[in-house]
Amino acid sequence: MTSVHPPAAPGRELSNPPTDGISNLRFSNHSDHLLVSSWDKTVRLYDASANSLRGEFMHGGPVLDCCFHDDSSGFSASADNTVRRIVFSYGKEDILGRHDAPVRCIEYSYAAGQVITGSWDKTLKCWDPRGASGQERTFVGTYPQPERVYLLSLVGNRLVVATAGRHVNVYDLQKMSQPEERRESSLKYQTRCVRCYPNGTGYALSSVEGELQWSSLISQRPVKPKSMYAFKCCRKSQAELDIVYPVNAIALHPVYGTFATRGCDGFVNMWDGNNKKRLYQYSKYPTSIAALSFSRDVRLLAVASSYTFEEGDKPHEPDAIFVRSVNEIEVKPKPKVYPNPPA
Amino acid sequence: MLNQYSEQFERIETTCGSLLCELQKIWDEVGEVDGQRDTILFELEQECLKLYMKKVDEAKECRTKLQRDIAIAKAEISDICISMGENSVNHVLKPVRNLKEELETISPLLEDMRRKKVERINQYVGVVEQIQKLSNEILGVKEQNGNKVLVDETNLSLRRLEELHTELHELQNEKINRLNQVQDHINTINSLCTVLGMDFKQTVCRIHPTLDDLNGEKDASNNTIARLAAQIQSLQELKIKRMQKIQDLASALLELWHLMDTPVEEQQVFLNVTCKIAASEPEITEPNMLSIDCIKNVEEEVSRLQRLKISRMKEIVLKKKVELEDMCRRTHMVMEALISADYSIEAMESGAIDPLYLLEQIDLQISKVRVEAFSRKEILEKVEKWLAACEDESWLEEYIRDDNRYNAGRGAHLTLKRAEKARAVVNKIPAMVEVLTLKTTAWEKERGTEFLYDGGRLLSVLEDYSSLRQGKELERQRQRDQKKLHGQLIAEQEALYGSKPSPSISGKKASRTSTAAASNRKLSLGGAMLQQVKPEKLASRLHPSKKADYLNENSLVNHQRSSGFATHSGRRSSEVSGRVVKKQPPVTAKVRGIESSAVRKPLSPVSFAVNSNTDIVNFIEDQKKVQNRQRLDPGCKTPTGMPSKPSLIGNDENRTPKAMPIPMPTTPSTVSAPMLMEMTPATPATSGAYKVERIVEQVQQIEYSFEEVRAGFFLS
Repeated sequence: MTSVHPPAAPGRELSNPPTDGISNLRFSNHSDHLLVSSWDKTVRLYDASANSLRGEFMHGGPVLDCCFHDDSSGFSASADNTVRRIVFSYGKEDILGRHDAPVRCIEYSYAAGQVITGSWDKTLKCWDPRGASGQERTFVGTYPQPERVYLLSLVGNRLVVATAGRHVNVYDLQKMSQPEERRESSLKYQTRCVRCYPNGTGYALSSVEGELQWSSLISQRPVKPKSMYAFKCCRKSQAELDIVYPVNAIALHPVYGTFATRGCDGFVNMWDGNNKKRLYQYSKYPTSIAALSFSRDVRLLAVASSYTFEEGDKPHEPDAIFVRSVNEIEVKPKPKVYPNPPA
Repeated sequence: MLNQYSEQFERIETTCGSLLCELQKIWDEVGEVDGQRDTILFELEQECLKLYMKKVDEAKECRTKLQRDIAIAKAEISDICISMGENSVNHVLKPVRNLKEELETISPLLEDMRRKKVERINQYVGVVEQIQKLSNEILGVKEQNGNKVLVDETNLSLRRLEELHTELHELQNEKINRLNQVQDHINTINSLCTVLGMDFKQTVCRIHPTLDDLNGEKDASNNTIARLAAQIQSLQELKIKRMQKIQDLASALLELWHLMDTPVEEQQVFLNVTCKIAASEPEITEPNMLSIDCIKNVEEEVSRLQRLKISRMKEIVLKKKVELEDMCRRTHMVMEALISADYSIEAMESGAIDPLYLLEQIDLQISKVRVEAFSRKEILEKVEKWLAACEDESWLEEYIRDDNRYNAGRGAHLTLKRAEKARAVVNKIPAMVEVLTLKTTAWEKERGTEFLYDGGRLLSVLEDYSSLRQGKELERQRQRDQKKLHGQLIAEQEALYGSKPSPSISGKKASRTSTAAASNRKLSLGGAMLQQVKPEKLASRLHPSKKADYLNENSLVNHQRSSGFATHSGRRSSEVSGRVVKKQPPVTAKVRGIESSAVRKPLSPVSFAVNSNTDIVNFIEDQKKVQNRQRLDPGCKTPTGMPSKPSLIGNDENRTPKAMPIPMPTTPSTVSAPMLMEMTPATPATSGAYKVERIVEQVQQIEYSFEEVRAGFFLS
């Protein structure tokens, strides 16, 4: 289209992208492998650095989430109510267990060696993948939630659960019987993404109305006096009307604590949370950005450009996955600048 | 034959002999003399001989003629053969007996050869004519009628004919090539003409009228081709010129778009132009892409944008100017020649000054002023304080002159208190002035310039003030001396009547707040005080006591409101809110700083909408539309199942604990901004209450995420 500023390459586009909406993507903790779940009922495994499709695993229904176990296997949460374990090398998959409703999200805790799934049946379930196949032997426990579980985020033993109705529950995986904290999201609208800080002291929430909130856990609160704040992003002024876009997800930089947001406006922004400044805006992607993930060494950022159905069924750009390399300068917080040295 | 002829001869001889015999007889009879007889016989012999000789000569002549004819015919035949390149007559005649026969055999042969020759010549003429025609066409020479084709009759060989044929063939090929070339040229011209928006027919007809005809034979002469090529060249040059022009325009356009954030809809119109910004000459093929109209259009757009840019620039310059002026005013600097005449807008409009340069200059000035302001800050603060103190002093003087000051009117004790404070402040003035003088001198020394305050030198002002004060001091001294004299008189009287009790000065704060129904006078004083406080951003740090006052007043207002002093409190509260609003801008400015990247006008309705919005929005509906509608009519119950207004308000109050105790309906957006930014967590008590409400709301409306909507997952 316009050649105003020939957009800086949005990154390498992976070949063989999923044929329908991308629900999530994650980098492995050990390599540059990328696990992608999609509404086309598949989970795909890519080698991001080699740009090759390593495997494709069909499911009974749309796959809503996926995560790595280790480099040889992973887990998936499917809309056909099942939780599956996928062994990449054999292409083998076995069912870990079932929920009563579509499984929305899944996390694997290296600390506890458990898979945690959240479902629209208003429960959280834990599974032990080391047990043999079959629900009876892998099942660890089920924990009722106040509402349909939308999102999970996990760091170490700390688990943050976000549900419909803006509830946020914080659990310690070692004491799952009671939530460590029960909270309300202080954002006004439905929670769209939640991410724990890499250091486990808090979490970031985003809403469908383009708000983002930083929040420390109560137990950690004394560390930082100003522990909670929110700000708006993913907004665009157009004429008289402010268009707000859902913030589809957040990716936190494990070292600097800066974070990337991406939303339905197709932009990826890097923010410096401490200074409340935007560091960098990547060029616009063709459509909504459904998911985002930093690789383990933060050299790569995977961006799923995929329509997230925020405006119902409508024609949209084809789904694509971009992998771009991350410059230090894009993610490093800028030193605070004092316009007037304090007198 | 011979026999026949010899018989004939014999017969002739016999006839002659018989005749002689008869003559002998006759003579004998006559008796002719012998002489006579000899003479007659001689004559007779002579005459006979003569006759014979004549006939022989005739026969000889005839033979020679025949021989000559034959030779001529033979020569002609061989000539023709040679010219036709055939081997000379080896079909040589069968042996003939005599000449006549030979002639007879040769003449048909000759006829034949002649016919052949004519045929050959005709062939030649045909070919040569064609050749001539073609070469004429190629050379562009008009055909001259009557210019008979000359054929070299000496060389009519088949080989030559072959050569001529190949020549003809070559010429024909060349003709075809040329036609193709012409067609190519015409096509090129056509495409160039379409791109340049010119009339193709006219262009081509000017070169040659036949070229326009689609099916007709086209002129392919050297001249035409050369002219076509020249035309193409010139068109191409024109195209390149226009292309460069349009690309220049396009880049200007892009720059302007970029500069002014032109909306995409507006850009769309010129996308076809801008997408060719880097295109090379052959890449531009769209019809009318480079037409004069198109270029004119783009030019107009560019000039329009330029005008827009200049007007915006003007706005910016004006804004910057205002900012500069404001800054100067705040730091009490005079903008000497900062904004001289040539910085004026008129100059910019007339093009005398590049607005960019002007902007740069103003920016430079601003930064200079800022630096300057920073260095002056400390002194200015002190000056501020000093001026306030001076004001207090003058008020105090006024007050002291008021003889009724000790009348116990309403609020008199407050005035007393103020006077007491003012006295304390006034006492500090000399020290203040001294410090100020020191600082100023230091500053001046450091800078090497005079410290100007509103155009005057601060030091001289201070000096004036000190001399004035000294004068006053002297005056006071005199008065005191007089008083002392007077006092001695009074002391004498006191000795008689006892001393006066001194007025108690220490009023309690609590009593003040409870009874402060505040006289008009006090209110205006308070207002004045706050007016002085207002410009200082760091009010709380510098004047903790005043800040406390301010808070006190707030709570006071609250108290008053609850106890229902209708008229009075109304005035107060409006005043207070006015003040709050005045204090608001720095806060909002800070807010804006935080979210500087997410561009939003500070007073734009979104924050209001967000504030009054509920969290339960039906996402299946078009979210933005809903929000828009809500924004337009926030109180109205929309058909999308928004909760009714009462629950909405309750909701709001429960969730966001108010930082301000006073609801301010006039300025909701400015107040809501800080609340949005620093959200305090809901206390457990309120969240509990809120939960109950939520459950009620959930009965009305269940929210779904995009995924649930897509997966068709709905709660039954």
